[in-house]
Amino acid sequence: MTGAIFDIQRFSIHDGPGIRTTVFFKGCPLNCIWCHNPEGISRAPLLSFRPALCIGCGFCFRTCPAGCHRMEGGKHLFDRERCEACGRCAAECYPGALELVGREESAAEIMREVLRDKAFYDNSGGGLTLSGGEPLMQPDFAFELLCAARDAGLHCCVETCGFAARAALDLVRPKTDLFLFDIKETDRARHAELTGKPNDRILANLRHLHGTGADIILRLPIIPGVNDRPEHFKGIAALARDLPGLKGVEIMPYHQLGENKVGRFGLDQSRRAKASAPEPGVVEGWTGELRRRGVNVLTA
Amino acid sequence: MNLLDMASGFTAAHRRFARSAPAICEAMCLEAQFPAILGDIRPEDRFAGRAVWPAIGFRLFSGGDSECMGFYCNRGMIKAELDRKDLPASDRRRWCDLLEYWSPRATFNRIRAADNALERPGLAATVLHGNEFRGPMIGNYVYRASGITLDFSRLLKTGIPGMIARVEKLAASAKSPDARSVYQGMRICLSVLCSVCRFYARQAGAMAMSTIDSRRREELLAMSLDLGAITQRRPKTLSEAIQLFWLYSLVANADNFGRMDVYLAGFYARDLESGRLDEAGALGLLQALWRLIADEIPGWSGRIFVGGLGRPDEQASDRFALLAIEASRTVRKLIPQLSLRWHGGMNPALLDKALDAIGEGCVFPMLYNDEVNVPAMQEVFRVNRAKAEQYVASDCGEFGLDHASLGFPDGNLVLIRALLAALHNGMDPKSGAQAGLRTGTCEELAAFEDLWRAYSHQVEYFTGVIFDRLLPMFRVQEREISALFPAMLTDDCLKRGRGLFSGVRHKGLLIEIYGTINVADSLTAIKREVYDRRAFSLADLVRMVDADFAGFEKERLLLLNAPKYGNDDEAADAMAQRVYSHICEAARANRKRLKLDFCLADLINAGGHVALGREMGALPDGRKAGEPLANANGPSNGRDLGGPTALLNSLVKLRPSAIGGQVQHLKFNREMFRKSRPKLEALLKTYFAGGGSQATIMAVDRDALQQALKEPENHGDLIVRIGGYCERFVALPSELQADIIARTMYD
Ligand code: SF4
Ligand code: SF4
Ligand code: SF4
Repeated sequence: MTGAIFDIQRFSIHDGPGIRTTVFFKGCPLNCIWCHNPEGISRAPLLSFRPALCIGCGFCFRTCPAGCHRMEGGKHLFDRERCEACGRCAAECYPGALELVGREESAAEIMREVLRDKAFYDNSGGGLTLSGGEPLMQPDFAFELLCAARDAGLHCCVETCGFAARAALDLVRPKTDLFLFDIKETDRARHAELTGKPNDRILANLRHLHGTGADIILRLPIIPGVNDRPEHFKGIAALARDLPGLKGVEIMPYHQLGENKVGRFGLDQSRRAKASAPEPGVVEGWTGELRRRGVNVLTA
Repeated sequence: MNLLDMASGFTAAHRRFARSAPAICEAMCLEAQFPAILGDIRPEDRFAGRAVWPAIGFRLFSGGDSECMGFYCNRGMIKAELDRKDLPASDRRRWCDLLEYWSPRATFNRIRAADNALERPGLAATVLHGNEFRGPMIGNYVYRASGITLDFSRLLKTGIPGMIARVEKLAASAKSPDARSVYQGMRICLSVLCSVCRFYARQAGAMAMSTIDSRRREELLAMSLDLGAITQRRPKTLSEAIQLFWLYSLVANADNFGRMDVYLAGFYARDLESGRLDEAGALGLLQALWRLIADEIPGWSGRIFVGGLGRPDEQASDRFALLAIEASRTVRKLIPQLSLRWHGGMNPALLDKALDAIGEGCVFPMLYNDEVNVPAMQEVFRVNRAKAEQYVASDCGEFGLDHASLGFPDGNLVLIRALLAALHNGMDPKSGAQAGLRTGTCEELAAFEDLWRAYSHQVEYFTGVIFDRLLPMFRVQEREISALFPAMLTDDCLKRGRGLFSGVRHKGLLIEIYGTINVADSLTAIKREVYDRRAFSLADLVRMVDADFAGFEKERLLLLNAPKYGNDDEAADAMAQRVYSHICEAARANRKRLKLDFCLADLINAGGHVALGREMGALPDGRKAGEPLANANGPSNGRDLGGPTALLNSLVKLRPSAIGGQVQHLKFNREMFRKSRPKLEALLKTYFAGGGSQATIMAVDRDALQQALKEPENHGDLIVRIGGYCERFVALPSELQADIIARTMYD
C-alpha cells in the first residue's frame, strides 16, 4: 500500500536516540496555532508558491489546466481557490518557485531511502522516526512501515499528538520502541482553543499507552506567551507523577519556521500565534522550573 | 652581515669549489651560508633557530617563490637592492657581477634551460611553465621540490656525534668516488650543524648574562646548555630533542615534520618519569615550538602527524599525541597543521580530545583514516603493509611515506577544460584557437559514449604532456642538487651514497586536478538532458553554455537541477566515480613510461578552484560564468542538499586506491560538538568505517554564519540547529537566519 507523506529527512538528530531518518506523514487531526509543519495538516497535497523565486518565465501560466496563474502588472498572481494541486505547474517551474508538497509513496520506496543510512543508525543507536502531521492518521501504512523497519533491525520511534483511535495506537504499539508523545496544553479548555480539540482523548490514550508498559517520552512544545504558564508546568508535573513509567520529558522551544510556511501554502494566518523564539536563557528557566517540580527533563 | 656580503661570501665559496664534486661544492656553500644567515633568538623563544633567507643561497625549496630552489638567486630581492637610490656604485657593480655569475648556474635557470631545450610538438606547446592558467590552457606545471619528511627518529637516536661516526665509516668504505664525495659532503654538513649549535649556544649564553628577569635567564641558560650538549652526545631530554630536531629542520628546509609522536614520545615519557618535566612544563615547550613553526614555516606546510598504526611505543606516543592536540588547541595558529591518524583500535581519548579542540573552533587536528589509507598506500606506492603504515601527508595533503618518498604536485590539469575541449572539437570557445585535440564535432558525438571517448582522449593526452614536461626538472635536480641535509635522513640516500633526488626510495610526480566534480556533474546533466531525454541537442547545449545561458535560464535550471554528486544519488555518484577513477588511472598510466615510482593525480585544490572559476565561462552542470569550481572531490558549492549522511555516503564512493591526496571538508554547527557529541562521533565513525579517507572538520560559529548570509551559494552545506532539529542554514528564511546569528553570540 501507499501512504501520504510530505518529507523524508535524513540525519535527523533530535527525534529520538542516535542518528535517524524521519518520515513526515501528511494529515493531522489537530490544528495548533503555532504549528511548525502547517503543510502537514491537510491530507491532500498542497502547492507551495514562493514569489521571491519566480523568474516570470510564464511556463506555469500555460500549463495549468485550471488557469490559476496569471501575470498582472508585472506581478505573478496565483488563484489558490481553483488549484487542484495536480502539480503540473510545479513540474515546469525550474527555479523551484512552485513546488507540490505531499506525495503518495509505498513503504518499500520509503524504506529504500531510509536504509541508505543504516550504518549510521547502527553506529549511533538510531533508526526510523515517524512524524508528521500525525502518523496515526494512517495506521495501516504506519504499521507496514514499522514492520519493514523492524525487520531491517531498525529502532523505531513514533511521534504522535495522541489524538488518535485507540485501535490505531494498539496496532503500532508492538512495533514501536519509543513513543514521542506531544503534550501541548494540560488545561482542557485552553487545549481546545489552541489546537482545535479538547485533550481528554489524548490524555486517555497516554494513560492507556503508559499502562501497556510502552516506552514514552513526553514532548512539550512551549510557546512564549501561549503556554509557558506556571499552571501548565504544574499540570505537567502532576501528569508526570501519575505516570511513573515515563522515560522523561523534552522541551521543544518554539521557533518561527512554521510562520514562513503559512504564507507559502496560502494557509489561514488569522489564528496563528504571534510569538517569537524564546530569548537565550529562557529555555533553561523552563527546564529549571519543571525540574524543581520533580519532572525528569531530558536535554539533547 | 649585510645582504651583499652574504651573497658575495656564498658566491665565493661556490666559485672556489665549482670544479669539485657537486656534493662537496654544495657542502662548502652551506658552510658559507650557516650560521651567517641565522636570525637572533627572540624574547619569546624557548628554542633557538630562526632564518633570514638571503638573496643568493642554497635551499631545498621555498614554496613562495619557485625560483628559490637549490642554488638560487632571488632576483626580486636583488632588484629591490638595485632600485635603492642610495646604493653606492661599487655595490651596484658587485650585485650585477653576482647576477651575471648566477644567471647560468642557478638551479631554476638550469631547469628552465633544459625544459626549453625539449621539443614541444603540436599541442604540447599549450602546456607552459607557470602557476597561472592563461586563456584556454588545459594544463601547466611549475618547478618544485617538496613533499618530503625526514627520519627524525634516526637523528634523535643517533645524535650528531653518532651521525658523524656513521658518515665517516661509510665514507671510508665507499667504493665509488661519487658516493665518497656525497659522504664527505655530509660530513661537512654535520660540522656546519655543530657550528650552528655553538653559534646559538654562545648567543643564548650571552643573552642570559644580560637578562635581569631570573626566569628568562634560567631559560636561556638551559637553552645554551642544551645546544652545547647536543654537539657532544645524543639528546637525552625533551628540550634537547626538540632543539636538535628544530635546528636540523631549519638547515634542511624540512617544512613538514612527519610522525612527531614517534620521534618525541620517548623523550617526553622519560622526562615525566624522571620528574624532570611535568605535563604543564612539556606543554610549554610544545607551545613554544608551535609558535616557532608558525613564524618560520610557510602557511601551507608545517604538517605534523600523530596517532595511527605502526608506531613502536603506542602508549607513550598517544600520551605525546594528546599533548600535541592540547598545544594546537591553545596556540591556535594556522600552522602547524596537526593531523591525527584514526583507526578502529585507537585510544578513544585521542578522538575525544580532538573533537574538544575542533568544537572550540580550532581547525586541528585534521583526521586521517588508517583503515582506508594504509591499504590505499600499499597500492599507490606498491609497498607492503608495514611500510604503508608509515604514510604521512605533507603541505596541503599530498600523501607520502615518512622519510622515504619525494613527490609534489608540480603539474596542474583543469579537467573541466578538457571536457570543454571535447565539446568544442578542440577549439577554445573564446579565441577560436586550437586548445585541445580534435575529437569530433557535436554532430559526430552521437551517443554519450562518443562524448566520453572524446573527453578521455583529451584527458589522457594532456596528462601525458604535463608529466613529460616535468622530466627535465627531475633530471637537473638529480644531477646538480644533493640536498645533503635532507638526504642524510631520507631512505635510502645514506645507504646508497646519493643525494636526495637520486637516492630517495620512492620518487614520483603528482598532478593537481581541478574541476573533477564539475566534469562529473556536467556529464550527468548532459547524459540526462541531451542523450536520454533529448531536451536539446549537444550543439544547442554548447551554444547555451558559451552564451553563459543568456536567454536560456530554463535550460540552465534544467541542467542545474539534474542530479548532483554529493547527495547519495546513484546516477550522479556513479558518474563521479567514473570520472575520478579515470583521471587516477590516466595519471598512473605514465609511471612505467617515465620510469618513476609513482605518477598520481591529486585532488586538493587549496583555493585554486576559486581563482580558476573566476576566469571560466559557464559549464554544462548549470554553473554560471565566474562562479567557483567545485572543490577537489567535494560536491559543487551548495549542491549537496541531502544532509551529512547523504554527503558522506557519496564521498566514500570515491575510493582512494590510486590518489596522491584528497581532503574532505565537513562543517558543523558548534553546538553539535557539545550537545550532540555522541551522534557526531557516530557519524564520523560510520564515515570512516564505510571508507572515508580524511576529514577536516570545522565547527562553525557566528562569523561563518554571517559569511553564509552574504554568499549563500557557497554555503549550502552549512548545517545549524534550530529549536529541535537541524536545517541547512541557507535554506532558512532570513529572519530565522538573523535570529540564529544573534543567538550564537551568547554561546
Ligand atoms: S499536532 Fe503537530 S502537525 Fe498537527 S497541527 Fe499540531 S503542531 Fe501541527
Ligand atoms: S513557472 Fe515558476 S518561475 Fe515560471 S512564472 Fe511560473 S512560478 Fe514563476
Ligand atoms: S497544481 Fe495544478 S491546478 Fe494547481 S496551479 Fe498548478 S497546474 Fe494549476
